[in-house]
Amino acid sequence: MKYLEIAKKCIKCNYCFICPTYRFEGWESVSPRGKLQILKELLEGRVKINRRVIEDFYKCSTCGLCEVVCMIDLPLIELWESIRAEFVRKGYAPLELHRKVRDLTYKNYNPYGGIPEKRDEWLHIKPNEKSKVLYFAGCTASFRLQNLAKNSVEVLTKLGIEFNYAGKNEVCCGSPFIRTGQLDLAKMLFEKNYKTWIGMGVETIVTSCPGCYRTIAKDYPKFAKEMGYEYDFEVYHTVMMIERFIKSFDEELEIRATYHDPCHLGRHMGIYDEPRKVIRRLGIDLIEMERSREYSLCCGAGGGLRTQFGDLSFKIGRERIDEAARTGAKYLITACPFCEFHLSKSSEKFNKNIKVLDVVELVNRALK
Amino acid sequence: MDLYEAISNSIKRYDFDLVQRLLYTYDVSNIPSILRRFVKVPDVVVQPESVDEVLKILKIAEEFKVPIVPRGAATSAYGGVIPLQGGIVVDFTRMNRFEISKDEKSAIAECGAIWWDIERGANRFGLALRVYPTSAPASTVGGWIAQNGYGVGSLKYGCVGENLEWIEVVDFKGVKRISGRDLRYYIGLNGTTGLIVKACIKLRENRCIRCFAIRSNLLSFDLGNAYHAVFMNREFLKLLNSCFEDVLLLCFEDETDFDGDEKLGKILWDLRFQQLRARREFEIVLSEVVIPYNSIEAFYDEISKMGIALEVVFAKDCAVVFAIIPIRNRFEYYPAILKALKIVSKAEEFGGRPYTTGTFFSHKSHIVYRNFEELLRFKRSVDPQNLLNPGKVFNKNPISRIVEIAERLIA
Repeated sequence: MKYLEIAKKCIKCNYCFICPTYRFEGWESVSPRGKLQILKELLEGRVKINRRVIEDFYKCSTCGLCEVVCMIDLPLIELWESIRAEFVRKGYAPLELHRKVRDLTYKNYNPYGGIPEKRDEWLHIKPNEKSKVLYFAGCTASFRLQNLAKNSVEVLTKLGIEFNYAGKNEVCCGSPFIRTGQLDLAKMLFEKNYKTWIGMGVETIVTSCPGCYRTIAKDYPKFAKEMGYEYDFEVYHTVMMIERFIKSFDEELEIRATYHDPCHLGRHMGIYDEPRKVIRRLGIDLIEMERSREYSLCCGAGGGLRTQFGDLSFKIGRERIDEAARTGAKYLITACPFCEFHLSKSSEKFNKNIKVLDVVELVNRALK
Repeated sequence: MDLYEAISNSIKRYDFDLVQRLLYTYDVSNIPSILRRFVKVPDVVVQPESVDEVLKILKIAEEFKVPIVPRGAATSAYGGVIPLQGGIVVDFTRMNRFEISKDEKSAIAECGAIWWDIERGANRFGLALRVYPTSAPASTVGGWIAQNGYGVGSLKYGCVGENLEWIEVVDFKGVKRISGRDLRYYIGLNGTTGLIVKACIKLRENRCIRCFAIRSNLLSFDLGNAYHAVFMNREFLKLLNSCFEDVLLLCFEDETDFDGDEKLGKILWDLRFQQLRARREFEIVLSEVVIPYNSIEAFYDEISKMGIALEVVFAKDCAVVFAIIPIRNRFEYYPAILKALKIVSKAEEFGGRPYTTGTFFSHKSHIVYRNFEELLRFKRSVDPQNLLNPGKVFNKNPISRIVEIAERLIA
């Protein structure tokens, strides 16, 4: 559907008022319904684009909750991303802090400014260069939450899955740039990764980051088609492999925990059951939050929101942490380094007594 | 001091930005482009967070002689929140707190509280709303009261106005608590006599709702002790993609057993908030009328000849007929609007009325409000300068005048 067609189709029922950023900002221009009306007004020439409009379109974590509640099934995630790409094409974006991350990534191939040579610093298990299974750590696990990367390869090893790893040749998957409309950079990163994987003879890709998982499984095939590459990889999130291969654990963890659905794993890719099955098999007493599965509240970090609108992002993070605390659980389990990072920071920042963990870390603990 | 200074000195949340102001000229209705010129972009949008701020807004409006247009979530399709003379749009969505009283079996809610949030809050205390709109997931307390709407549960409990202990209203003289017979001066009047800021809503015991579908093309049923009853014709159900026959849905709030299809009943009950899903396929025009029971069958027979999607919600003392007219190509747009108007005039022939007046039917207030003359006298006493939502209920407006002309043409 074309932009105008989608915008005109909106019935303005306001079911999308549950958008996490709109709940805090409160102005119609930040709500999905409002943005669709702005889009219509822009395309029909009644209003002109200005800085405020651009910012409001970026006050969105692309979490996709609006798409879930949309009565008429408008493809909203794709729409928000395409409009941002249009803004970038026309020179209205990226916004300042997104540009800063872009510059860092052009220089270092990761958005954190980490030195590429140190990307594999966490690795303590020798990869099997002949394996056709690739572990893709992603930037957050490589430079911020290295424990997740370590735990992931240890779990793969315990499962008997021999893996290969691209080391310093692994570059950012490009997810932050696709979500913020910077497709030129995302495509450049795709091409680099793709060529590396082809050179390594990769057939299967396992990643512990939902952002990378979504990008490699859903966005890369589109890029490949557009750029004339053959793309034939099986892509898994680590939790999917764990669920498939481990039906019981050596040790049961007797803790009470709740689970946060990462938007890119849940709403974007439909993976809700696998992490829950793994958590239950671990013997954990899982208590669901009031908003879970497809109605889960975003952690607040995605879609470039944390980078550009930090305060807003932390307001959402705090709400999610509060919601988790209300379950009475001491642990908040997730399956995404970006969510873990942001929710941990939110928990620290607002002095909340809940520990945020990745499910892979617990799995490794329970496996002999 | 100008309006900008007055607002910015007194209210925390306001917005003078043009794009923002434009967004507050919409509701669910799609005003035809030739009529959009009569919609006037407001001067400012404000979002009060307390009654104190609402009082300040009214003072400013009085001082600068600018209209005030109250607005909830704008989920209605009748134009009640559309500004026709500019002014100040008061977006009440930030006043959304509520409290449940288990002992009193009531909820005290600010006007911007969302109906479904209240329902979930009440459920925690073993209570539930007696009536709620089919837009409950997103619509506000104040908005529905200002329309005196019918909805789920209206068969047993009537319209929303019958389910209020009291409301709190702000007008140019201050804040007042209204109950009993005086509620008639505010309920269903689109905020033209005062701004509803709080309501005490009656609740019921939260009992399991059992729903049964009965395949039948007849409207004359014994609705028994049902809590909610709605008839959907096959065209309506086709739009919901759920069934291809006429169905009566009967819902009971106890363990009543009933000879009907419980599985289909559950499906239709779960679809009660999805009436507008038809819009996935094509553009639609809506029409909604209130019909007395003694003529509902004859009225239904008459309009069902149009072959359009119809839903009949049975209320305590009337039936509400909701029609969805599909537009499959651009040439069908104006004929669909005329069809919608035809339904309204037919309803009047059968002793009925439009669901509410809003922007489009403000020339029909004498039909919608039986005590119109009394209300008009009241309006003049509380709002002598006609600043509260002008162009609605008590005055015609350019759009309603054009609707009036169109009605004469089709007659």
